[in-house]
Amino acid sequence: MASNSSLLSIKGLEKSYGSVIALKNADFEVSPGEIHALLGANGAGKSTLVKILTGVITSNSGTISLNGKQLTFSSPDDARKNGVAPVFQDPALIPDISIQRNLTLTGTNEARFISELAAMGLKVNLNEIAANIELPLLRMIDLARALSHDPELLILDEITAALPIDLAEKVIAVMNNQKAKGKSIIFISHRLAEIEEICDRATVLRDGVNVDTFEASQGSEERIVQAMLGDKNKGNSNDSRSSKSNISSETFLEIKGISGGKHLKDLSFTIKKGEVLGVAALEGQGQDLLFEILAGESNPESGDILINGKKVIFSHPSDAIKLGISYVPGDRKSALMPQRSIRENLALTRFRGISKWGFINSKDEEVRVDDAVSSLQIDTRAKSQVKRLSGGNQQKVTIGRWVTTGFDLLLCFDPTRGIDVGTKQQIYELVRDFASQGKSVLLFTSELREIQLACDRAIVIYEGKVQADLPIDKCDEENLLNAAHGIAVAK
Amino acid sequence: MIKLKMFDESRISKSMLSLTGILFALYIITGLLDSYNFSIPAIGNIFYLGAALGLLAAGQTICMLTGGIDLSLAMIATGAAFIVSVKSSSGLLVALSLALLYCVVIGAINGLAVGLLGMNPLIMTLGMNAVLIGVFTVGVTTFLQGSSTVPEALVTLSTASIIDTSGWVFESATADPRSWPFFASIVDTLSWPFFIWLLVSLIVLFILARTGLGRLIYAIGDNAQSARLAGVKVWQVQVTTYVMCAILGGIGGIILGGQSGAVALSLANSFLLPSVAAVVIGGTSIMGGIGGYKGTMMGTLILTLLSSLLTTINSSEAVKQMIYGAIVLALAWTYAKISEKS
Repeated sequence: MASNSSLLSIKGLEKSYGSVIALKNADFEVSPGEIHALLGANGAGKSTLVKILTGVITSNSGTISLNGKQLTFSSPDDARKNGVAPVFQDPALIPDISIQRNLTLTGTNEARFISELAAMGLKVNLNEIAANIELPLLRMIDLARALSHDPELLILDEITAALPIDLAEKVIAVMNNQKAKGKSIIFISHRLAEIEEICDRATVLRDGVNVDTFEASQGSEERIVQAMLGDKNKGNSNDSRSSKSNISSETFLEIKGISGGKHLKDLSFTIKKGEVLGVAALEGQGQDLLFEILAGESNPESGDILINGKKVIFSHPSDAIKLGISYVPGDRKSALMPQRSIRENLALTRFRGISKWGFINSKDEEVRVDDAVSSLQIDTRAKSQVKRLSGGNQQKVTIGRWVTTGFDLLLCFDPTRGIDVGTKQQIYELVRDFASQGKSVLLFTSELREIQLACDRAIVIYEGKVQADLPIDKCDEENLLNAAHGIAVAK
Repeated sequence: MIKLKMFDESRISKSMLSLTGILFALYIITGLLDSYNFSIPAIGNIFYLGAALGLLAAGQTICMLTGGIDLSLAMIATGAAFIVSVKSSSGLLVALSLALLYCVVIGAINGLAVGLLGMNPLIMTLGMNAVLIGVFTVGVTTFLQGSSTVPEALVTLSTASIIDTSGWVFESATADPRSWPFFASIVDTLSWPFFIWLLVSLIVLFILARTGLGRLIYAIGDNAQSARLAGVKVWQVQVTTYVMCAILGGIGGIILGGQSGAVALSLANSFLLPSVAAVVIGGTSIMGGIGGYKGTMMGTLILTLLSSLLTTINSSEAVKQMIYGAIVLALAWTYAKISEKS
């Protein structure tokens, strides 16, 4: 398609945050009256692209042209005035004030807003405080607000993820309606079926570059997944696995029909002693809640947790720790004491019961702490305050804490997020070491290739249930990604 | 072998060094204004006067290390002294036990409200302070009627020297050490309040540095969520902290009462803000998690010296308050500057 007939034309867009490159030389075009899907794995640069397009951030270089006119958006308001209106992944309404005041903030016409909502068959009391409104309706309010500005280009970022089927269908009707009026839409979604159904074209980003653009039609999911994964898909063997599996026939943990929160619905699985079980899922499938439940941080609404065949109930993380379950949360900051030393951070769990509040056995503590430091190869140059350590070293401290304490099952939530490659490798090795000592590990990762590097088996969670339970030789990224999108995978 | 020190020695010593410098400078100024202040009894007097503030500030330090604060501390101190005075007719031991019970109960209520109900410590203890003022105001004329005079034994304890020389008999006056000026000044210096403060300080320092409880006090102040995930029941630590704080405040209050001879409901009022100021000047973060009692001791001495300096220059009460406030702010600002750099 020639660029002079494009509504939106992006050329050579670049953006970096410090040394991290989010976008490099990305090109992207949207025609008038087109629904264009923007796809890519986590960290591929989708959000960055959307943020630049809507004036939230500015690019380092590259050009954006709208209707043939080159523009730079200095603020979301600026973008809106130029006909670009976004609906972001998270509700963009200020929770503590009424809908009416939220509308005033964006200069939205109330009558127009009400009629847009009515067109979708919805109604809302404008005096209602945003925080009192359910999430799905909030998403629709966001959408109606964006439509009220009569955008040439509507950007929908994961809008259907939080919506039940009936509302999702309404969104699709709105999209088709916009298209009929000759307006364009950029549509971001993890639901590949939706993309095939309603999008005209799809562009796939990988590592900050647009790698493929094609007509979206039935059967293009294979091509999408291929483009998202790229060469990484080929020949990544499991050669990094340094130690052999030592899986016992005994089950350590069994989860039976756990439900809770917005996402978890009747989730069941088991982990054997000495097994590393991988967990893969797209964002927002309830995996965070699952880990919190197992760590004793949250309670399930229904379902049972069995340890060594016995039913257990946790009312505090200390209950889980007592039974040998240790938790390394996804957010390192919540596990660390930033102003205290490596030693105090590593030794923290030693004082968890009142009976341990007395005199510290310095010798014993020193031995255990030094043990953990050397077995995890923690860099102790900045030992006095862990906030001065690198992300990788901080993560080692959060894991090392449990090495000094001892555990039977380690819950690791995305332990390698934002960590350099070398440290990632060390963490995989560490996990394999735990397994060879007969300990179990439950490992959620947003980097699918890690599953084959560190796990013995993997489950994929989709819409709160186990979509697939795969042996390690089936855990290639393609299978995992398919299952994560709700597509059946042959065992 | 990698050795992991418990604290960052260099950082601690740097701030302690600057505090010592400030203390020394203040001392020189005080002495230059009145050379009596260079004498040993004058130094002893600083410790004697600083003891009550030091004890209150010890409680405040523990609270603030957990990220909390106890604004009911002055009324806890006053209340303890008051109970001891009024109930002394039933025997000193009974009176002291009742005062201790009072401290434990008030501390536990503060701790439970903060730890289990999640109330903001500032609001909770401020409210507690108001309630206690009300209770004692009513109590004076009803259930706490009695003498407001502090029992003799406590007055002696709060004012006398550790070394009781009154019964000493010597053959000649020159053999009597009481006639040697140096010995006499040492006797004057080692007052009971100073001794009690020293003893309690050692215990507090030991708890903070060498016990599991001490580690947890720092831990929950730095990141309570982290402590919880490590299996620590945070509320238990908070209740213990507020009870310890109240007991320390109670001891301080009783000494203050003994030094004054009689207890009024305003006894410890003027010590509340200095107890917070001493902690902040001493380098404990108001957000918790970092600092310690050594710094607070220096802060206490600095504030006490400052107070005596202002008395020396014989300023009016209003001028005194202004200078006192301005210097406290300047110290806090200087300290912020220093810790920013390191």
